[in-house]
Amino acid sequence: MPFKDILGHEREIRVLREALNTGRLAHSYLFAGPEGIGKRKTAFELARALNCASATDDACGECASCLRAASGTHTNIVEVAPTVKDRDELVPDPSGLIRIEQIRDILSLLKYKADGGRKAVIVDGAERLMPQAANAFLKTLEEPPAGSIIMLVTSRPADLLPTIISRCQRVSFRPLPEEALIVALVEKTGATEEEAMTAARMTGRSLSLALKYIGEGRGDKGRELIKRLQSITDVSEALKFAEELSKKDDILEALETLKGWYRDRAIAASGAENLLVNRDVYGYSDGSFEGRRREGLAEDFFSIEETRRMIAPPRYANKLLAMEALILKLVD
Amino acid sequence: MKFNIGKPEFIKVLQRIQGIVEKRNTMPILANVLMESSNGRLNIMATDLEVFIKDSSPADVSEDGSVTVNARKLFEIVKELPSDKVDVSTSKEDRVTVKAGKARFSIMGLPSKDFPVFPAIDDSRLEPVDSDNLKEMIDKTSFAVSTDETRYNINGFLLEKEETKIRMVATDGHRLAFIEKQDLKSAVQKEGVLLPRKGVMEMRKLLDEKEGEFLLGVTEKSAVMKKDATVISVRLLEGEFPDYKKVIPKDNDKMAVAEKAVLLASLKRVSILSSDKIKGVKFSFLKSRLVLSSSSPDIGDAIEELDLDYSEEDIEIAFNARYFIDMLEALDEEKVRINLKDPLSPGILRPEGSDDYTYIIMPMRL
Repeated sequence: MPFKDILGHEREIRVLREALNTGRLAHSYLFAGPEGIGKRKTAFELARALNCASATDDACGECASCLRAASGTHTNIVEVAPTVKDRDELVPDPSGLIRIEQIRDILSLLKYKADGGRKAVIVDGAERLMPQAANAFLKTLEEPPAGSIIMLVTSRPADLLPTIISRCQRVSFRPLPEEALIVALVEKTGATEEEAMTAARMTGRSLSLALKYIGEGRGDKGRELIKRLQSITDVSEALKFAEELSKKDDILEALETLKGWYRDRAIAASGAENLLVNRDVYGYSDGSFEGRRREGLAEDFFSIEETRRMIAPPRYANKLLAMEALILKLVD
Repeated sequence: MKFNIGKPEFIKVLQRIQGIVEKRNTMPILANVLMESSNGRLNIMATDLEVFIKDSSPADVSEDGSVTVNARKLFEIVKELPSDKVDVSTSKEDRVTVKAGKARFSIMGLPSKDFPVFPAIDDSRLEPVDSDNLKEMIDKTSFAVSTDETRYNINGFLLEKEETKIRMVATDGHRLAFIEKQDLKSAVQKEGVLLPRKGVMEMRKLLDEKEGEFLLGVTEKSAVMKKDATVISVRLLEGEFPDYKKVIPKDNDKMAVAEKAVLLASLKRVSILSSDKIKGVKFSFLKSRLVLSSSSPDIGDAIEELDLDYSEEDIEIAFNARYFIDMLEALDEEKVRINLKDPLSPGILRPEGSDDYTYIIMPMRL
């Protein structure tokens, strides 16, 4: 039973199943919550359950309908995700955008009668809807054709247009429970429990991010990054560091790491050390908290987030300039 | 999978599906065609999830099997092959080899299990139809179908049955075409269904291609047309067609009758100078004559007079010439009846002597 294969989210899934059982599903949902915790998977399983031959409140995973959905060729289910344009082709890419052509694909599915069951649309990475695409979507989102359900999935609900948010029923997904996540990580990667815990905490208890974290050895990279930042003493070093950062392929992840570190420092500065995410990682006893007030740290945190947004699509700011401005501010 | 097939037969089945395969963004496999060899036949299938089409051709099959490959590339290859016989086989990882004469192509395929399945068809619901009648109904309404994607409920044809009559209606909000025929047998259900434009146009192509009896069936979800081994299944549109009966005016008592060919030719001329986007032409109905005029501030103006039967009071009204021309071109009869009420009410066009074909057109303010 595929809903059961989803790690955690008992509360969210119970709400959806109840709605399904009582025939009170909303026509448009917004699944919001941290990255990599199973929001899209939940949306997909709901889409499968709506079309499953077993006609229960869960997909069986074995009937023809469920299998077709799994291979991505179900006539009732369409899924779009951010893409980048390579010449005229749209290539899926999480840092790309959801374009108006893709919204048209959705509309062209929705205008046909459902092939049994219900039509389901999943928009993954909904915060990456281009404004034109979002606007083209509004009317459908508000009142989809009969027998259809639209699920927007996002880890950054604040980046969505308010006109989109107000048209959806929101289901907030919480981070995965730490114990369950650690068990799953140990099982999947063969990491030690200690490593799994660090990964879980560092990634805000996100399964896919934690897997990536362990897979890419990000703990070490992060430590190195922080060390570099702390060792900067003058402007020319800062500029050099900014240049290096701007050339990194994983610059967005590096910024996430920095954000995590500033968050912890701000929290520690307020005296709430039990809430630290990275307690075991950077060694907070080395004086990193001295010299700055909590407000300053929080401000730095938001500067990092603003920089991250600026260089990510669709804004594509000049990475070098953005990083220089940021690093100078941070070491100031 | 392994088979040998004549090049002309292979081209024929591949050509028919080219209109369906589409470069859609969401599902790369839809650019492919499914080939399946068994029992001495090659069966092929393609879909864009809106229209499904399958066809079949005799082939010399030496090994059963199935695979999907890019439909456009395969068609291009087969068209250009040097000999009359084509050998097709698959190897591991769904690689397809096409051989003819000394030419040899190897194309990457995708597994057939990932291809959408053709909707199940209940043969007992298929009824023979008269293909000429069906062709005429499509041709006389298709130009009025809306292409505005956001109004999906008028992106197609309404097909319905009333007593012994079959009716087809299409509109884009500015005009409406309506045609009735005495029973084409009972393939159509009483409650109306909405057929999407693209699917109907594929059916229309098939009607042109072959002679004789066609089978047609309509269910809650799809419309199916079958001719020999060729089957087209079209998903129906969702939504409600507007209540067209309310739109057809009842009190248009000013009637004019014109020669279709004369009116069409002079409309085409006069509309050359109507302003670019909306081809507005002014129609002045006077005693026994009609004056057509157009003007465009940047270019100039045109005026033409023609004779027609009209004896009511003078009326001056403007229409989009394009909409007028579309209908006149579809008309077989020699004379056309025009019924009007006043300059701001819709006009009705009908062939003289018959009420089966009705065309409503909204006037413009010029």
